[in-house]
Amino acid sequence: MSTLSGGVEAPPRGALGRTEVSLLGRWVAFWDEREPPTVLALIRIALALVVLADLASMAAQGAVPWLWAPGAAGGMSVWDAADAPLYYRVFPASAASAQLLWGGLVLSVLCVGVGCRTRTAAFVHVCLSVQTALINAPGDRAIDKIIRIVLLILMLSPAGQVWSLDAKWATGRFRGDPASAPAWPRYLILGQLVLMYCGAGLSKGGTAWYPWGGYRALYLTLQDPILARADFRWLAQPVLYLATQIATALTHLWELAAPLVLVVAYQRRHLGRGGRLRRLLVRLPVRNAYVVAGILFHLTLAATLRLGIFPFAMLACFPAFFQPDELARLWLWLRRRTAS
Amino acid sequence: MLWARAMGSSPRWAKLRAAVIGYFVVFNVLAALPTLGTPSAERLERPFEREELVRWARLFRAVGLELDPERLKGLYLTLATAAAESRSVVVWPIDWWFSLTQTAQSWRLFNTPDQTASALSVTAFAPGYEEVLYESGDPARSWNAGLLEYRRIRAAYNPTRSGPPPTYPGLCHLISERIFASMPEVERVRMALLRGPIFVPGSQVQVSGREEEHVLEFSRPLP
Repeated sequence: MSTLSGGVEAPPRGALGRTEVSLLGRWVAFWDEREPPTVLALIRIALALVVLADLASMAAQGAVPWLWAPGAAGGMSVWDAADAPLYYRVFPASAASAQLLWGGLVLSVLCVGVGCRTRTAAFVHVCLSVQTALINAPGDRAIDKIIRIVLLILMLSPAGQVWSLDAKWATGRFRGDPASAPAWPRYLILGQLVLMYCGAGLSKGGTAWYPWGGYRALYLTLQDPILARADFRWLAQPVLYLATQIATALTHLWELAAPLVLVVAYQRRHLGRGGRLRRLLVRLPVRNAYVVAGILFHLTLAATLRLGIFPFAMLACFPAFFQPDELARLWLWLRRRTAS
Repeated sequence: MLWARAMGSSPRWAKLRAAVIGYFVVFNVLAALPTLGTPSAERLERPFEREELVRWARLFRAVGLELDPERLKGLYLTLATAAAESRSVVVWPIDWWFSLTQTAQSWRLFNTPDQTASALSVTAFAPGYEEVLYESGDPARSWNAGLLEYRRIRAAYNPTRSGPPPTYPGLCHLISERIFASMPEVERVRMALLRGPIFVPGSQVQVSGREEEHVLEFSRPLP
């Protein structure tokens, strides 16, 4: 596929020499593929918006000093002077320092969003986020880890090459120049999504996730008053309870099935080979079905449980499932639909 | 310039990049593999874990493996200890990175939902009356709900089976300070986690009242 169409481009011919035929050579060639960085830019902007909303909500509730100031200065975390996080070795142990930390996070993620010195901004945000994790470990959730991982990848990527101030300064246009750039950052984000969902699925050791535990997991979670958005006792009705059992099974299957997305992507690359199962896998819309189920799963989570930004930050990374040209086609289709 | 070359496609840079990515991919995948939880004989004595052992033993019996809960417990402790030790050896080459960036690949999300649930309760005492200001899940008791239900604050009190996180006492102290500052008539504040069983259709567990746990009381500081 050409660069203009936005598809994945093979590395330049001959760039890898004779190693191309070996397994190692194919590994090198895979990570050397190129595509326009539009998907990365989309993830960059969407993730920055979600993080900004979270930080704004935190400040609106007056939670900043509670969470990130030292115990003696109005915070909830206490540590020995010898174990003080780096941030409080550099800055005074005060509520003002906690506010400064919040300000730094807001400014850096705002810069990531608008693509102003994108790489530096992402690096600064990750450094400050690490300090918040060290200051208040229980307050650092799984989604904060995911955000740091994705920002570290974006920091090394050409995500700021389009739709950014960096692009404006480099090309004179905010849209930038969607010339081909390394595709590996998108592959890594996709890999991270698969790793997280599959890891979460495999870690589910409680019997409530399995038939021999009655598939009660979702029902039990929805009865937790700290997590549930409403009183879900009515789910004890037999038909509705059965629905929660089916949803438990589907959720677990959906998580465990994440690697299938990679398997199908691999099969699509090698269309010429293989037997009936491979052809069937390629014909079925496995990836699209997985993504649609994932969107429904996260929106249902957001509607029923108080999980903060978790569902939205995960959805912000979902563009990684698609190649740039696929998203461009989807965008054109949506524009045509809204215009007609 | 160096960065531009690294992003480019010269064979040397492509190989170096693939090697670095290979290192991160391999060790991140290994680190994301699930462990068998924290091996602790003490934990396995708790009611929930004992019930879980009975359920697993029942499953093994159904497939022809005669393992009573006690034997299963011993087997689990051996395997979980070995798995934890192997994991620490296997991920050793990438531990520095996880520690530096706080990005350890451990994704235990709602892995063992319990048949009991807790609610945070905040009660204020003034001369002649007392009032429950906040209780999780009760819309009529929603003092500062926006703050107490914000994800990072919730994490400071949401208990696991081992109890609330270490930030719980500090958070309760801050909540009491806020109440004393905004309600001059309040003399005492009491915070607790109300723990009670969840009714599950078809279950034999009797759903009775909730018990107060981790109770903390604060009196108005002397002027």
